[in-house]
Amino acid sequence: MKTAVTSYGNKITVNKKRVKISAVNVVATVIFAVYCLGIIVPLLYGFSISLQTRAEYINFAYFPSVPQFKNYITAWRDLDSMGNSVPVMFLNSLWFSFGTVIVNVLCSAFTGYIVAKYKFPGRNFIYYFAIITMMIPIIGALPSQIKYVAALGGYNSPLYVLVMTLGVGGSFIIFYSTFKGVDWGYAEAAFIDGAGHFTIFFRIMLPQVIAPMSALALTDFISAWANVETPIIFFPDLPTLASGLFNYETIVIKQDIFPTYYAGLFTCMLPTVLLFVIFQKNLMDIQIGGGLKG
Amino acid sequence: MKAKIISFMLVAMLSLSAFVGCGGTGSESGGVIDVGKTDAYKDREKKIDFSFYYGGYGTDWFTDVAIDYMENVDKDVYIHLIPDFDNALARTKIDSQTGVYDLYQIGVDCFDRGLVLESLDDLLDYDVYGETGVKVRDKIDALQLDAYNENGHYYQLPRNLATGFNWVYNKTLLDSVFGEGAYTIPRTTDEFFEFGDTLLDKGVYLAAFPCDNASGGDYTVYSYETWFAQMMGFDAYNKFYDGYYLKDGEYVMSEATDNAAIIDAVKTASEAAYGAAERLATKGNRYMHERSAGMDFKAVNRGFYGGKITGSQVRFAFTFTGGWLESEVASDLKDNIVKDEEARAIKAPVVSGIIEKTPTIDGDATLRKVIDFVDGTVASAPEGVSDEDIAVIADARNIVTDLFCDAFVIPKRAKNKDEVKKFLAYLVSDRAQKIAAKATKGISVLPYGYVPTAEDMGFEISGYTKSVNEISRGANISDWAKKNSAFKKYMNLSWYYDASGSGGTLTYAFFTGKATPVSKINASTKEHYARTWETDFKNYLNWTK
Repeated sequence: MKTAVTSYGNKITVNKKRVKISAVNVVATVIFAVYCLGIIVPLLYGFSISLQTRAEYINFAYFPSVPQFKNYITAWRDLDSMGNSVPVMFLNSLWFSFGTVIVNVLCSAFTGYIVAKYKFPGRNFIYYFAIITMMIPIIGALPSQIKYVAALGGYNSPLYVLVMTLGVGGSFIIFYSTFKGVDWGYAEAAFIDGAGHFTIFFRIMLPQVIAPMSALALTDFISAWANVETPIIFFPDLPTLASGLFNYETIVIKQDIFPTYYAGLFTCMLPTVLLFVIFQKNLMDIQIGGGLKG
Repeated sequence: MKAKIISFMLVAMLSLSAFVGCGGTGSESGGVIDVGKTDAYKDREKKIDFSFYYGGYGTDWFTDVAIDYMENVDKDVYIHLIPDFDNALARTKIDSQTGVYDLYQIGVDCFDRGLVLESLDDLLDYDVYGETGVKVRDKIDALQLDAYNENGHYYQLPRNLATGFNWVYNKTLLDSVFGEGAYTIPRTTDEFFEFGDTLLDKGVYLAAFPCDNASGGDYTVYSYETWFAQMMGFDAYNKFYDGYYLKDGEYVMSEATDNAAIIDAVKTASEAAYGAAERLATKGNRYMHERSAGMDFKAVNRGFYGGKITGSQVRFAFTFTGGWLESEVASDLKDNIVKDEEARAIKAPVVSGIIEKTPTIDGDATLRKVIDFVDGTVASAPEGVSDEDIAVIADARNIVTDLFCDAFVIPKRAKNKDEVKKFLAYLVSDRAQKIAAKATKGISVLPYGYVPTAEDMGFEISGYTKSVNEISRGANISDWAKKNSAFKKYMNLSWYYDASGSGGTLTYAFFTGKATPVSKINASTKEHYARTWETDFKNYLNWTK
């Protein structure tokens, strides 16, 4: 038996729970341990390679004899894709990721709110349009997408972020459902106090959906940061870190400069890892906690 | 608190990115491509976007040539250099006419693309920069001019170095094994295999090839092609790919039902060449390094120069590659990954089966003496050998196989086409060739007649490069791809068909024991063309109309 202290300062007795070691537990533990090792070991080896010299890498060393932290400086300073240095690619990643998040999340919030809370002709059409377009598998739309983006001035330009934002995608459905659950009474009370529609949306309604909005923003950011295909296809002259490193891989293979390349990869990974570390509680609460009320 | 610390780190990293772009020394060797040296000219009025293939010869020569042009020839133009790593993707872009650049140096077949490529007929009559009275067509080798002629028009300016693929040996290694000057470089394939047996007794494999061909680099199929060409004779070899075969002492054009006849007509030649290839690459014969299956071209290059070979301490003496070998290992040498050893290219060993068509040459020993004579090593031919047979051997000894798919092309949608053509007329000049050769340690990467000398270069040209140039000068260069042969293209003609479907190169198929054996190769090839010949021939006939 074990003694614990409550938040009120009272001592209580806690019965120690006996954990039963069963064959299933052992097998499950081994499987998950192997799975974890399968994820962690390659990452650690990759990190080790990022600290090796080229000669050590080519001679299949497991660990560097002297850690070459300068590889990170080299990656940061000397790697480039089509004449764009790593800092430039980093900036491209920033505008693409933040731009996608801000424009996509905000536009989806606007459309979700309006369709959920205001009655107007065509309201249901918008909702069902969003559902149906998500269900239809569109194969071979890429050439027309490129033409569409180019016609609107979004090809090879940061305007891509604006051009490709529809506001009626998956995020719209989430915001629609979320706003549906927010009591309209708040708005009515605000109208009585003289608030306008914009005030109600930005100061009353939007703060109510801050949790799902944060989650969407985070997942959109992480997804955009790691997106290789979109920058290569739609803005090839403005490579992001992800697409730039992807392009750079061919040089790496030819010259066997994998240590510098791995240093670049870990550098690219860092912002998303840091963001996850900072916001993991929010993310995990939203992922696990939703629907477990009462 | 933890979140604050991490947030601070994130902000610091973001801020650092703004500062680290400043200054700095060069990185470890084998670092990034630096074509940024041309950025100083980017404010100029006219711009040429020049996409080039980043190959074994590196990029410095493009930069040096472009800078010379911008500094001394045309001060209104900015040449924006764009390295490309995928020839096929570049060609796809050209075909699609989207996002195309103004000029491409491209290493894949660009024939039959008159709809998407600018005609270069007028370019051939341009004056070459700095050379009075010399036209661009005067600078191009006649063989290549013929190969790139597409029904009287030109859409590609050939850039093929025409040095071909050669057998290369590690001179330093062989000197240490046998003693300097104490060995004879093999002249025939039988002698090659005897040499391999001797080497194996001394703990060295004869050769290694990159069977792991995922990133390219296994050129051994060109050596088999050379052996086939040797057996056929250069003229007959070319006639074969144009659809002709020998019937009753005369060459006749194939018909729709002639698939068996044309394959049977080359049976002796194909079995001799295929048999030599099989003997070389079969793992059990131990001529090829035991680790070849897992080696890519970089591993083979490193192993050749004494670098580490995974799972083996045994070295090998020969490989089969092109003139770029030393360029490809330059960064490895700098990083002490390989040893500073000497390599030499040699003429392809003559396939020993050739004595079947030279009645006065009674065996391999005599064949070797005839080769010594045609090489100029000895003053007189062996007794009893006819002049006709000597001519056959001389012809065989002088064949080098290459791949005529390297050219400059201008897409139809290029901007500033006149400027681009003017730049091309400069590229073929001796001036540009000299600058390019200097950047590549004496290799004629712009192959328009200029021969680099030590005096011009300011340094000694390596023994390897000299040996490559010596072999190809005056050689009969056979174009393995025969991309401009309509018959070969439509019929997909080859002198052998390996039915194994091993998924790799023929060498890999031999090495892993999956290839069709030589005893069945004639039947396998006939069987293959029996399925496809009639239909393909109809398509060929439609094209000829």
